[in-house]
Amino acid sequence: MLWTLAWRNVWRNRRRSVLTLATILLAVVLGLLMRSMQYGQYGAMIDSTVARTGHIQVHGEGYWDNKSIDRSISAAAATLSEIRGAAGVTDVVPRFESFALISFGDRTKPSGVIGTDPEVEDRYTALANRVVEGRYLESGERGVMLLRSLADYLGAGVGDEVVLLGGGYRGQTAADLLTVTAIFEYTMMDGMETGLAYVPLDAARELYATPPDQVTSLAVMLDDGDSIDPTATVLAGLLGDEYEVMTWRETSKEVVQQIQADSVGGIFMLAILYTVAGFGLLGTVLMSTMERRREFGVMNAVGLRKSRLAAVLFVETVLLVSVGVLLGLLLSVPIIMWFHANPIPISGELVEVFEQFNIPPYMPFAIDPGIFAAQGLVVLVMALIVASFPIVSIRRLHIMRAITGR
Amino acid sequence: MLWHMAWRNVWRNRVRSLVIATAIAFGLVGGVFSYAFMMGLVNQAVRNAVRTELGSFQVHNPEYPADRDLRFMVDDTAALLTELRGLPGVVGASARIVGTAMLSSAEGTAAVRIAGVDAARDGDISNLAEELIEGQYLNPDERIPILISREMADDLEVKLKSRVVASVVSPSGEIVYGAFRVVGIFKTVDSLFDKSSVFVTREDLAELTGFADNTASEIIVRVEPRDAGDAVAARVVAAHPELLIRTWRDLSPQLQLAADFGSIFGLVFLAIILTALGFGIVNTMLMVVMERTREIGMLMALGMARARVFWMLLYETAFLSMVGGVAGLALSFVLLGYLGRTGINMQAWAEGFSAIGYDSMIYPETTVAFYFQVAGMVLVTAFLASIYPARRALKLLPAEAIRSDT
Repeated sequence: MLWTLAWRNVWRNRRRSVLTLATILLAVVLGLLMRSMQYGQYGAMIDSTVARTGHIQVHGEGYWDNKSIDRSISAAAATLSEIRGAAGVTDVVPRFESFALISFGDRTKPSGVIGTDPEVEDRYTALANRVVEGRYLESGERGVMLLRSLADYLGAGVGDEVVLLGGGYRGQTAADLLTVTAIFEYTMMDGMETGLAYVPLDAARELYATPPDQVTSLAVMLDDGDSIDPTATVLAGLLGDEYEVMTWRETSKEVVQQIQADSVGGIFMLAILYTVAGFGLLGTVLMSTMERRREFGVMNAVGLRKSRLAAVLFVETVLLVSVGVLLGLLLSVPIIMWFHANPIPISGELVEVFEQFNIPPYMPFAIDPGIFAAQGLVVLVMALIVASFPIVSIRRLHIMRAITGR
Repeated sequence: MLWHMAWRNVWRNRVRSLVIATAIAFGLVGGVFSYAFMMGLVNQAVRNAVRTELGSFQVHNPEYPADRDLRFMVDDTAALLTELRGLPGVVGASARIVGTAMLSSAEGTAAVRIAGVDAARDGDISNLAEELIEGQYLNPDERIPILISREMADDLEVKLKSRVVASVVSPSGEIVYGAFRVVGIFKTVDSLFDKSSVFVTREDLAELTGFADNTASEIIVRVEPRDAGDAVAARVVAAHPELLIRTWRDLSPQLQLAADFGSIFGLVFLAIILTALGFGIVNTMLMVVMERTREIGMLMALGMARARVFWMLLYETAFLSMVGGVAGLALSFVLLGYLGRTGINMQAWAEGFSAIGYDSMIYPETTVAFYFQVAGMVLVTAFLASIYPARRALKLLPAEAIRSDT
């Protein structure tokens, strides 16, 4: 009875209700699209970060603050299988990272050197797809893959032998001659001062004269991004004090902070948008209360208690907003699903912004149900607040004055 | 007379008018704030980058930028510098030798961009001296001084007075080694710059690498005001077709993009807010028309032309919007005036901002023109929002309207 009455009241002034609905719809749709886009982008940023760092990283104690290869650790098969055996761990990517001067002929350039297991590396960073010339590294070979700009500078091509020279393990000299197997491109590295070279893990150990099995970092991949902290605790207990176990949130603090700052900005904008929509709703509600004073007076006079009257009004507002939220969801969900399946490709200058954040140039939309729930909830809470206003004016209603319109 | 009526009409239903005016004021404060925040963020980043790293434009040998190879230099710099310094608007021009190097200490190695600067004149184009947090700026009287960043000092575990060794590729392609002593430690807001830049004196770097006198790798020019930089750069391009001239926009496309998109983004957000407000205004005015059906009918019956009724309602909408608009802009002005002085501290995300070259202390910025622009947008919104309600008023038939009971 209460609901029927409220529902009918909503549609008594169709034009006004439709306009109010439009305001709510606009707020909900914009809010959903914006949050979905933001979350999609955060997801892409996190994915590309985790692909490089792993969900969890293991290094020698103190390595993170001072990345010296003297703080590298031994990753014997036993250690690796111990880590792999921990609950939730799907894979471990061992890497040996350092610097070297790379020379060919009379040209030399300082360069980062990453020793990695080619097969495992490709699984996460899709490194093989970056190869533009030659063939991708094979584990165990004495080959090197050069960044395009580095190879161009050196004038070295596939098949040439280049010299790597640097500081080795515990004060030894690192020097080796490796054959270029491939040249790869990495747009994010363009314009950087240094080059970048990938070598198979064993070749890196040989170059830097380390004991076998030595690595500077182990990137641990988990099957589920939500169980990072407990797994990190387990690993830290498993490995002991000589190792430091860090989550990607610690090793890529700037990414976490960029996401937080951007998210706060988004929430701030939505708060403004919703408040504006809320005022629009308040205007409507106040109007309809004032306009219907006489009607309320009559209803009160014929025996409808004020509390029931207030309840009808409250339900009216909530119904109206619920319809708005539902329509908003109905309208947004297909759009978001569509763009989730077909991310908008970014072209032109904006590509550089995406590269700055090291994410592929697509505008992904997230379909996290949490986003929908949160937006719907926020709008409903706003509606509840607005809906309480007329209750005050009902309580103040004076039957005689209301009926006579004075 | 019409204006007068409209203005009084606004205040006939005080609560309703205040609700919608508050919504407009609130929405505008939010929109203007967001815009000013974005502008402040972006302008600061541009100012910092131009002032510390890039200058207004840079002069290179066209072959140089690909590899920062010391072989490719700008000749006869003395004459060129005199010419550049004589151009209108130019407040400083300084020649540098810039190459790539590996910097090592006992504790670590880093790949860097090493710049040999004219200690007496480099202050004209870069405020690096103000970014020092420890020690002194380069002084040619001291032996082999070097400036490094806080981050670099931590990575290499060195302090003031520590010795570091730079291995640089000389113009002839050999690797030469030189020892330097840390005399100053700087920290800018751009962590990429900090991670990759070190500064020594031109004399020391020229001696180490055998770099010829009266030549340079790059000349950085600073123009005031900043906007005049492009025009000056264009003149140099015309006078010296043999040289590569690049403005800060060319040197940092990301920054230029941020500068271009920042303001558009702010305006789009304002437009969204105004759309939401527009719905609210339409709703309010529609109520006004329905409420005054009888009165409007009476006015028309008394001989008021329809056009005048239309204008009266339009004025009323405009007044209503301007009450909110003026309040909103005044509030924004006060708020932004205050925040422009104190700044907004986003220290919690400092590393995230710093990773992409932004300061975490943000001073919102606006221009007077922007306030007028917003006022214009509000008026346009009011005009558009009044059309539908006013048209409904025009459709009223006086005879029927007078008899209606509301």
